[in-house]
Amino acid sequence: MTPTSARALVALSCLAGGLAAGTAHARRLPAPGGKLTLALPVELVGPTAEAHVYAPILESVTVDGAAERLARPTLKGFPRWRSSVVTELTSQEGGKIWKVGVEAQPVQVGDALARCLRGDGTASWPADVLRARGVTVDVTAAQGDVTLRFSAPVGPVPELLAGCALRTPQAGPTGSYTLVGPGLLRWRNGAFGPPALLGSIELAAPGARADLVAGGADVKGAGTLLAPFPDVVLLLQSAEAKRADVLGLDDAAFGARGFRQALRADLLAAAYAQGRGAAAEGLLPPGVAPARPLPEPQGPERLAPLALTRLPPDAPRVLLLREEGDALVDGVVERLAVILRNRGRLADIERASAADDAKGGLELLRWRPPTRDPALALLSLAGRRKDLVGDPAVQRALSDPQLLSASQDERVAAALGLERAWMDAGLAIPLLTADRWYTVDPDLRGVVLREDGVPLLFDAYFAGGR
Amino acid sequence: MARALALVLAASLAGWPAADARAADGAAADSGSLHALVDDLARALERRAQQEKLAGAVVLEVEPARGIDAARVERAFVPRLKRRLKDGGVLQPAPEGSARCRVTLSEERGLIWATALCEGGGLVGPTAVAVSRPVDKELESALGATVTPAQTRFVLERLGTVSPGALDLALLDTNGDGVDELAVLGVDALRVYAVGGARLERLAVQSLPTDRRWPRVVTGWLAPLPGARLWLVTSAGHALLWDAALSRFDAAPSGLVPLRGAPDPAAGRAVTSAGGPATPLAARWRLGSPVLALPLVTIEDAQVRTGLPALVRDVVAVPGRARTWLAVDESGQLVAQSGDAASAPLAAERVGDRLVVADLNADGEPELVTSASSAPGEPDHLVLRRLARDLSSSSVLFRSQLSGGSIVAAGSGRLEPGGRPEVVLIEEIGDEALAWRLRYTP
Repeated sequence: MTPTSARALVALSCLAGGLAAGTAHARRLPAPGGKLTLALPVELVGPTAEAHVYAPILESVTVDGAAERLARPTLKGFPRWRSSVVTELTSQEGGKIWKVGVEAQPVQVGDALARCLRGDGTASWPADVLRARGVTVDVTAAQGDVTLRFSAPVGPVPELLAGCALRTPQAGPTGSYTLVGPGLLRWRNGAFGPPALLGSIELAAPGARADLVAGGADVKGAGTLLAPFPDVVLLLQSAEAKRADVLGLDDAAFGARGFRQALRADLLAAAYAQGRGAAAEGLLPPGVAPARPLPEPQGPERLAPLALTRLPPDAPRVLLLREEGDALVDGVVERLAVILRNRGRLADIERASAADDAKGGLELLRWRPPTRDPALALLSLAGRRKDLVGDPAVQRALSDPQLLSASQDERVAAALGLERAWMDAGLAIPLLTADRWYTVDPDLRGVVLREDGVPLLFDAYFAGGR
Repeated sequence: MARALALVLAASLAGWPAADARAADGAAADSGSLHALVDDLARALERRAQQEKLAGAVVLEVEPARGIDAARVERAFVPRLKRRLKDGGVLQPAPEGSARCRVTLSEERGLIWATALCEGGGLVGPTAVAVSRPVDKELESALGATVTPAQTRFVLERLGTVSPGALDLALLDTNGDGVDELAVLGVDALRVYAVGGARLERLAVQSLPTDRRWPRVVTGWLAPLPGARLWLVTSAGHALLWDAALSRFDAAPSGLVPLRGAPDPAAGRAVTSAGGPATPLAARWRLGSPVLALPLVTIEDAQVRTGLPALVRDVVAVPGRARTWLAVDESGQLVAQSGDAASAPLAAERVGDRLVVADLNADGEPELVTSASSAPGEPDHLVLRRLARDLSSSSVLFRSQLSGGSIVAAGSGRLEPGGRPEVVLIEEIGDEALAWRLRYTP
């Protein structure tokens, strides 16, 4: 992608995404002003622009000093959350009704919440979550507050609201920046919340010279900023592919262990993710799921060479869908094609589209949980992928009301159960985790990575006084 | 892995103390957060077992993961969990059985997580429970580890705790006893503390008006004025004068920030001398920024000419030398400037925002205290420097962390009648704010 096309994309698209800002703390306090150039892959350009143009409904509190915590207090009763839009959150009837107190413009806030929680006209992971559990919501705005009436109790409403921005078709920018040209964000007055520090942000294509580069190569002297948890590369199996056991997972001589050994996740991560990855233990990556038990010792690996005999043109074929433009995904696809060939099948590699299921074959999905909450993360995937919820065991796990419990412990437990059901059903096979990282100018401080990997620059500044 | 530890609970059942002894021991030891974690987990397991109709013998394995010490888990957690489950009577830890629960302990962002995945037995499929508790001192010592600092001949002593959210600190004799009190400007209030033997006694609290919104940079400036008064300014826009005798705020000149280390030369006295403070010079304030604009001005808005950079973070006058200044420039560079000469760097490393100058060892030459600018997340260092006579360089006399937190404010004054000047620092670590004194011990 050229810089021009990246900027044009920003001008045209502002996709959905929540916000969770935080402040880095250093004894030489930041001075406002300056310009930052940010190099991003195309899929992050829209969410990054939107995160800076529209104010977040709720922000998670990250590592702050005591002064910052007192100056910007958390919501009463919700010590992990604060907001420049919401003044109060209260639940009634066990979480079926939530009152969202707002400082100003309740109608605008109500519109934004309705769009976000119902997915009206926009992609929204909170809407996916509710859809997966079959929960509907009515949003009504009144003087000073907005009422959310859910069809079933919903506990983690703050977590869901953190995925929403104050964005409506009628209102303009509500955040700290406004889009003044293709790929150029400029500081604006009148934002909800304290003004950002940087004067302007330029979004550029990968490869451009930039202060902050998504997935950039290691540069001497530059810092590296890792997202709070890695992406997971998942292999989705259609029911037909599973029945035909195209991967040989039920083959006693090969099996899941043989498949994992043949995949060589460690080498794939080394070759395509600068070594920042590993074999995946589950659908939920480390940092989203609590630590898992260590794998049981299974004896030394037997790395038997794969038999790559020539296959006749009429050999059975397997459709393998994947997103284009990701070197890691391409590398995994190539390796899967080799494994399939070893199993006597040819792979037809095609581009996946958002509406597709695996179409009777396999699909490779690089999945990033949009939130650190494991239950909401899995529900967002279930809400987006109908093909993953057909299995009776998965349906049973999805029907667990604890997935939307107010107790984080209960949500974690229910999420682990759903994850296990998905894996046992063989519909989703975790292949490897891959970190998301940014290389950072050594003078740049205060960059925060949102849980979905979007960089937030409200508190960013150049310590060198640029 | 070496730390990987699969502890089959039932294997050590034979080593348990007798029931009566266990009860007595448990009453004494099991009342805190470790006990609560064990109890929460056991309850969750029992509840789930009853829901899923799982009962009787179960093989339990406990594995320490991220941030958890394996030996401590074996010593502190496992016996309690075994005891608790056995007492509960729903699940019986056993060396063998068709049902198995694997418990994993990990530390995640300030929480200890215990997750258990149970399978086998009569279970239709695997089932999981998870419980968490915030890490506190007891869990830290029962399942993790801690660290401590060191020092030299300049002695750092802890004075006591102050309210968190400190922005600046000034020492001021509010009651005329020849000993300075600590005036601490916080986000929410101005507080005055007297230094007692082993603790700080709060003398006064005056809340700041709440009509201001704080910008992202939360900071403030505090300077004593003659007549037991204080001049305070914050990045939220407060500009106030506080009178200790009347305990009230009045409006201060707007747009100016007082520099307590730079007394108005016309006053001719050191800022925190026992004789009382002089009126400080001021710089221009820039909204929401810790950076100040020069030239220096008097409180009557008369300019004071210097050769300092146009944008600075702090300025102090070198005591005993006319028209000689030290400053931190916009980018954190420590500079010295004298007369009409241009400013020159005084140290290679960048420093924190504020400077304190005091003759701590009474040798007639002032020492300079700064904080070393540290990366986010790393503890601040206090740095004590001796200045070369010609102000061409400085050498580090002493450098130390306090207790691993951030140094948020520093000031100097006399904490004992007739004593040497001392430096007082405020360190924030977590939700606690600690006051420290740095003094010279001959």
